[in-house]
Amino acid sequence: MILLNAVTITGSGAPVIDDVHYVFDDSTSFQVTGSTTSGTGTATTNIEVSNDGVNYMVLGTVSLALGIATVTDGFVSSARWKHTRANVTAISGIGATITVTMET
Amino acid sequence: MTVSVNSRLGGKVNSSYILLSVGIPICLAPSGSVAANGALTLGIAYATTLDGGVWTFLPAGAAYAGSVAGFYWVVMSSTNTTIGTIYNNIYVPGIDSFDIPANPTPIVAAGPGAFVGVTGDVTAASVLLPGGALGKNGLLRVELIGDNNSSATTKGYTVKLNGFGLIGTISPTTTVYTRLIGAMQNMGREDRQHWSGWFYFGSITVDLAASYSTSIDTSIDTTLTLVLSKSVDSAADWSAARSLHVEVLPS
Repeated sequence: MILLNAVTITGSGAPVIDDVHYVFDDSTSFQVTGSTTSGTGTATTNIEVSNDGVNYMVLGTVSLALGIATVTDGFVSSARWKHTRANVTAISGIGATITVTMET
Repeated sequence: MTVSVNSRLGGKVNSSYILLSVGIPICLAPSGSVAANGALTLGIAYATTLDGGVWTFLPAGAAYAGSVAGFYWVVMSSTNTTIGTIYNNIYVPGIDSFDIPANPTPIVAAGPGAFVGVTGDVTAASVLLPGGALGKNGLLRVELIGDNNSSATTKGYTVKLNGFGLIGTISPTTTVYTRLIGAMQNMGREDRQHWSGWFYFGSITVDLAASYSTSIDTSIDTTLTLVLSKSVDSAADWSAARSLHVEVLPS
């Protein structure tokens, strides 16, 4: 599922909620993908988790060195959290975009 | 690009995994003879550890007239490890599965008679180590169990990365069982690593002198191989890898 889709500015996306209607497995993977339309750039993305939906903690951080060619990186988690969201804390570069996906 | 995670919250990065695990024996045959329908008689008996089935390297024309050189599926007698049956199933390292054939194909042909065991180096297993799998400080851990007959001539085993002998070659003669443990770790960069010497049981020796460094670029795909060897004067001997286990511990 998509946590953030081709965002160009900093900020967090809406959380995905693991409740009785959508039970996540214990193993979840996150992938962050980005590129620019010209030259180089950088982007820093946090994957944040919470059980109360109010106070979020940083589960992991993916820092990408952007270019015209798409770059990507990611990590996995072994714990279950009720709320999960992506938060782009820094992004630079001409036409820089970031997409974050999650699979469980 | 960098990734950092909070493991306390469940984040995981650099999970270790098994790159290759072979529990089926793979062997270079000694000289012997083959009668009709793949009936094999070895010049020197295999160890009983190989009697459950073993991929056995035979020279061209040994299994039947016109047969190619390669690793054939061979099942030895449970009561006499000098005799066994060759099946027409061939394992090509890096291409074919080394799994035991579900329905071995019998050989129906006249026996070509005596053959001379191969000498030299033969690749017995091959696997791709994906580029970047180790990371800048990752570890590659190798454990190998070798068997061979006892004789004055040398038999050997080694593990190579991109054709480079990683931890030296163990060359037993009268030591018939060898368990080897070694490791390689990148030195803060993906194109430089140091290797532990083999720690090996058999003659109960610690080969610390074999520690050295290499400059293999692990940021790109590389190939790890198990190589069995016999010296030029050891055609009559056999050399086997009973087990090979390779773990990747990225960091």
